[in-house]
Amino acid sequence: MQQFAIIFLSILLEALPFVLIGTIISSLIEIFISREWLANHLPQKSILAFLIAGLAGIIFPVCECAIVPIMRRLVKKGMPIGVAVTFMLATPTINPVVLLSTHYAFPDNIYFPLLRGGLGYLTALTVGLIMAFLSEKSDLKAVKQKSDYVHNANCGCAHNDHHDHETEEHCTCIHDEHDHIHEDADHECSCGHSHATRKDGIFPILKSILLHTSNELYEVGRFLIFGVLISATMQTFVPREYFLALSKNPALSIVMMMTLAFVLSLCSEADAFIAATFRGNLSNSSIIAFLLFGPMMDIKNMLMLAGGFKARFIIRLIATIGLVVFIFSSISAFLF
Amino acid sequence: MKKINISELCWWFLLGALVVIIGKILIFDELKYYLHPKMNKFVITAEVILIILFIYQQGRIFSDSVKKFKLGYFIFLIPMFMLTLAGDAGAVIFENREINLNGPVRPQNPAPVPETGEQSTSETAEVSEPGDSVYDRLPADEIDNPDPNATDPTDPASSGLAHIPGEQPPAIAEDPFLTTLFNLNEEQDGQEIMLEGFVYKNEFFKEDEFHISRMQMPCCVADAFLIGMIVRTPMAKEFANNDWVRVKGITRLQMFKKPFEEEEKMILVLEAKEIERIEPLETPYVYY
Repeated sequence: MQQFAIIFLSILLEALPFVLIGTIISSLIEIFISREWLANHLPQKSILAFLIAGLAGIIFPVCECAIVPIMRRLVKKGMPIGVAVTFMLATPTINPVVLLSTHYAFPDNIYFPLLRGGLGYLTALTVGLIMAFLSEKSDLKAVKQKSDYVHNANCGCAHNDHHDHETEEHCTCIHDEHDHIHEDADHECSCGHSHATRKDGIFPILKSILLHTSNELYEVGRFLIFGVLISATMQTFVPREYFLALSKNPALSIVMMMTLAFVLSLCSEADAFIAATFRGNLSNSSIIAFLLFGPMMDIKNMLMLAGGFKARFIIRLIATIGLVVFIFSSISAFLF
Repeated sequence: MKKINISELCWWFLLGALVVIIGKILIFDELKYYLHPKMNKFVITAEVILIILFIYQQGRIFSDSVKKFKLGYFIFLIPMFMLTLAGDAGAVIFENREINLNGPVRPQNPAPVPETGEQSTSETAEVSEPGDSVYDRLPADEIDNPDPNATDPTDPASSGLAHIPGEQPPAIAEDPFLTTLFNLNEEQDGQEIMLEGFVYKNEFFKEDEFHISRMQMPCCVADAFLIGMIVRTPMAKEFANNDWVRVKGITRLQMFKKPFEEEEKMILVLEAKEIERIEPLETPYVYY
């Protein structure tokens, strides 16, 4: 149990700083980026939006722990789900830090960082496009009609008709506590928190950032801890030899390595070093599958996504990523 | 008088608990047992953010926001429970780890590999030139007569073993275990080296083999894997997993069958000349 506890704490300590950074960025997006701004600045030709979202990882080196709260917020702000998925998948896979660590882990083979970057980008793009077709607005978790989300009668909202912020025109449909929009109102609710906009002074903005960060930390943190708990269990109690025993079949070894990446939930900046230990035992294509799938989807990311999206969306997303990574990894066998 | 908002109070308490957990790990210098030292700055940043959130949350304990108690709060108690379970994190050698039998490679500024010409498979010992490893560049008596009272004779800070005059010390002191492995020529017989680590055996090793190991941590403990060399000695069966040993020997290019591979391959193994049990080092980890 001691080993289990140490692994749990190590994954949590590794992920928490980046989750906090992600929640702060998410709060800044909430305050400084309006739906209108996003709608006006996203490329009108949607394919261009996908291409740019996929490349954002190069200038936005955020790991997979930080990207989930940011993605959730961007969807909430009106970014199309397919584009947001491309952004979420590409950023932790093709960012420079990850590619550099992959190069260090495989110093004698430049194909690994190159294929990770190239195929990572293509995978993110393909999955994003597929999810744009497969997903619906109803994939987002509906806000529950709870009394605790309804402002009381003393609220100073400009929109004080009935004081229910859960109505369709106000609801942004991702389930957290701050889904009611206050952008166009001088707002001082009696709900106890202020909702600053970029027009406000520095202190209201800071206060609002702290509030959003705190609430987002609760929303994402509980799923993070639960995910880390499962990951630590897999790391401690499931012998990795079981996975390696399946390595004789090339197709099975790719599936096995994707499963391993999913359950281990390694940081994308370090997973290449683990992948390097499998060289000689497994095919290069299955190692590429490990390097592609891990940053895009793992247990803790899946659970963090569960805070904002319905199960059917998450299952479709995982299945699509798995299928696309499987195809690209199989193709990579011809490139080594 | 304003009423206490139980929900906000609970969240304040949980934020405080997170601050205490991370603070305890930082203050008692235990972070190295969980994360690579390069991650320190991120954890310190997280601690600062949490302290700010904790202070901010204090002002919300008496707020009028209508919130019910959330069951999700209980999940945030798990880290506290785990901290008590973890105990002395520095003394634990993990099971269920990958083992790197491909030979270590220094990620930055790789050591130049001298040209060797034809690969030798000769059993004849060809003693390497002095200067192949940190140990080799030290006075002979320091290797032959190590201080028996030293708890960590490979600790660069305590013994100066790793300090080579004229060389710039790296930003994070590289463990002599790693330095020795990095400086090995993987195609050359007869390099005389000394390694200190723990014994690792599994069902793939023969009776006269064990792996002298340390756990290399690229980022966090969850990523750690075993690094070291296969040691061949008739005394191998006298040592059990996790025994700490100092092995002096000569490198040999010999056939070895890696786990899950069908054919034997030529790899560099350490033919032990002398093995002695030692006290566990301060940490089983090495970092780069």
